[in-house]
Amino acid sequence: MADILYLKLSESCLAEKRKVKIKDVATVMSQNPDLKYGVEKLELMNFSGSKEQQVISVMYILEVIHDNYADCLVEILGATDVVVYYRTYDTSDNVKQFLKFLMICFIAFFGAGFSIMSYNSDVNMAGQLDVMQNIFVGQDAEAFPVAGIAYSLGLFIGIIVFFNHGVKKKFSDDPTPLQVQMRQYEQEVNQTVITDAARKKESRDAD
Amino acid sequence: MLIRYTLLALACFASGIAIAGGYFAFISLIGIFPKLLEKVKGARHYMIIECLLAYGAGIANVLYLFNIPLHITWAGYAVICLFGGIFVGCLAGALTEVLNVLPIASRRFNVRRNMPYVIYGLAAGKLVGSLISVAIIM
Repeated sequence: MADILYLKLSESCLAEKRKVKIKDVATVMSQNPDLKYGVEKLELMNFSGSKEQQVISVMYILEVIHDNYADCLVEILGATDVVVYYRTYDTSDNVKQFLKFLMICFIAFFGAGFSIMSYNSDVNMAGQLDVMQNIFVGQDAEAFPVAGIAYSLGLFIGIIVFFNHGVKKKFSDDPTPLQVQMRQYEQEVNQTVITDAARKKESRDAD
Repeated sequence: MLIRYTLLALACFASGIAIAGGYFAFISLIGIFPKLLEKVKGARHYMIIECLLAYGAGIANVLYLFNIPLHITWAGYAVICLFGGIFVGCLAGALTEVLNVLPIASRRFNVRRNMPYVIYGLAAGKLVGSLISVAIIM
């Protein structure tokens, strides 16, 4: 009786070495430990450059497995294409990356400030607070500082609650909105790379 | 009188929270920072960026409402305006992207090959328009 092999492909992965093995892109499970071990060690491809990406179709992986283990049933679970990214580690890159990151920090800080100011002047926030003062306290009172401080405090607390954390400590286990957006963006990029590669016939597929 | 002041403070506090929620939902939904962080492979530092967004907005809001003067010479002023401009530019670009303007335009006008030039044109148009509006203000 042929052994059954279960294969679960990840959506994308970052290769650490030039040689990409099945173990790097998929999880393998089988009743037969020898088969599992053997399949995990099968080589899929070799990167030559310093910064590359390659889409590997599950059909190609099937082909490689069947070339080596002719009589085994493969059950595929998970994604049908995987994007493998490969980057060599370069220390001079670190400084550049850090400077770019610093730049983004500046954009976040001053940009958020700039845009909240433009929002305030867009909706005439000072006038709005004056109206609130007329409603709640009266025309002549000097209550603007109270309103302004309360509004500013509310704004700040609202942002913190929205992003769900202080400087270091998270208030709950939920991922923050930026984290969610980042993962979503990553998935969209992977999908685009896969579709693009299939259209340009650059994907590593079965013949 | 104290009750009135308390009511006013409470109302302003609540409106502040509501505005912060809406405004930052907009900024994070539009997805500028995921893209920028992806470019520098700094996705693990998302917490720093979120904190900077929070503090930047909080501090700038106080400065704006109470007209607090903060003299940082014309160079500092220029730097702050530069980063503010970059942010607003990203916001405008992301907004056109979220609204699917470019994909639709590229299909309608068959400009898929020359997309980079279209984007340069878009940016140049924004630059010229911004310069003209600043000139009018001055």
